[in-house]
Amino acid sequence: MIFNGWEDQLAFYLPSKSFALIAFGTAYAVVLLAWFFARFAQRQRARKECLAALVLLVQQSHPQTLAHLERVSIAAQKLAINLGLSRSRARLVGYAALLHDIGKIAIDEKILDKPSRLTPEERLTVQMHPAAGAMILGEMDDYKLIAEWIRLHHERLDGKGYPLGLTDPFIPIEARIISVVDAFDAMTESSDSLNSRPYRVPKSNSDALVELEGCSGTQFCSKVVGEYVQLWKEGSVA
Amino acid sequence: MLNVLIGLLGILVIVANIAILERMLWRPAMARRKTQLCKALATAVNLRCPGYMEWASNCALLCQLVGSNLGFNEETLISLNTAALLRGIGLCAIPFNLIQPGAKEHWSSADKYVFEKHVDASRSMLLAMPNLRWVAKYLEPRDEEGIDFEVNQAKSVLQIASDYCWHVHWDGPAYARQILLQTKSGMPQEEFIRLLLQVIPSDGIGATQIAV
Repeated sequence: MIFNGWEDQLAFYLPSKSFALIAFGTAYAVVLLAWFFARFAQRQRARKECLAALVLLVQQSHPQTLAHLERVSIAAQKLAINLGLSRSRARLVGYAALLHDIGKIAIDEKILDKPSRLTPEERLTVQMHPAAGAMILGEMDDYKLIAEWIRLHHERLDGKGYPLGLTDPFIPIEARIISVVDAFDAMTESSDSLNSRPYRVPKSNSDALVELEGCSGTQFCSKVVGEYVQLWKEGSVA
Repeated sequence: MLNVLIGLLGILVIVANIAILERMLWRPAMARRKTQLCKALATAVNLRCPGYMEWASNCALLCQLVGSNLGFNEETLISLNTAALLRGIGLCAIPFNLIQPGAKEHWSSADKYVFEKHVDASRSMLLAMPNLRWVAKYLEPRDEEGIDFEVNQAKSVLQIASDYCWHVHWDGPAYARQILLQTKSGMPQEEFIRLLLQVIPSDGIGATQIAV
């Protein structure tokens, strides 16, 4: 190879400008994407760790509630997917269901475990728990949305729910899902379960489903109840 | 040679960009997330034990003041602040009626024993939380032969400030100060108590006003 001066030599060794730019751009994009995905995974892990910390808090304050929360979380996530919510949204519904009773931390265990019916004052105290839960979760940006669903999970379509007494159009689908699954689990909780309500005879699954259907349109969303009943018939929730 | 230089320059640009992203976006976001979790946990405890937030934030403030006087580095001060906020999360494991205002007057010795276990419960809970595990060491008993001198000092500061704020919360600031003065002499942590007495007002008003 014969070079005519140093410019020729430089031109031979240097890749073309466009090649250099493409190589640089590709390397930059790959590194940036790798960084982004690594951090995204870490963010998801951090979110789960926050969730675990909050669940631990519930477990410490009222250990019996945990099994109920886990069952409701699994069923709510499945129901959300069946209702056409996206995977990520359904996962958030699962998280919300797992923490929906976190506000019970502010309630005396003697009231929560009372073997007889609650007095009106005690009932009012228990009715504080959705707002208390929303207050706790509202402290975290990641869970602000979940906090709102938790605040509304005891609302009814006919406006007779609590804490706000909202009616049909103002209750998000996620809160409706939690409401249905929570009610079903509370009705069917077996008497040997630590969290069972001693004053209430547990219903069979079929009786509870009939009860849900009976209350659909007034207390529960018909669409959500319909889908939940369908899930039970298919054996997708156990 | 020039090729290599240009390549190195390219790598340098990429690394610098990632470093900027880490510093400007990622680290503040993670720090914010941790702070928010601490606040959420403290709010939960406050709902169960009214007045906890005030007690914990007063304790955190006193720790900061004493820690600064002792020349703690910034990292220890931040850790101490978090530890002060979360020292009482074990209260969630204590029966509800024992931690309500005015309940202390009716405690039996068994109740007192149950209550005193709350710091151990806090430590166990923090150890079970991967993102806050590093705070747990500040709730361990002082290790006289410990290697980390500053952590040992921080543990003592936290314990003294927390006990003081605890007495302010339950028994009032005058009593809390009196207890502090009584225990001043002959204790291994005399230096920390002296510093604490320097930062709380001498008129017996107590930590509540300091925090405000």
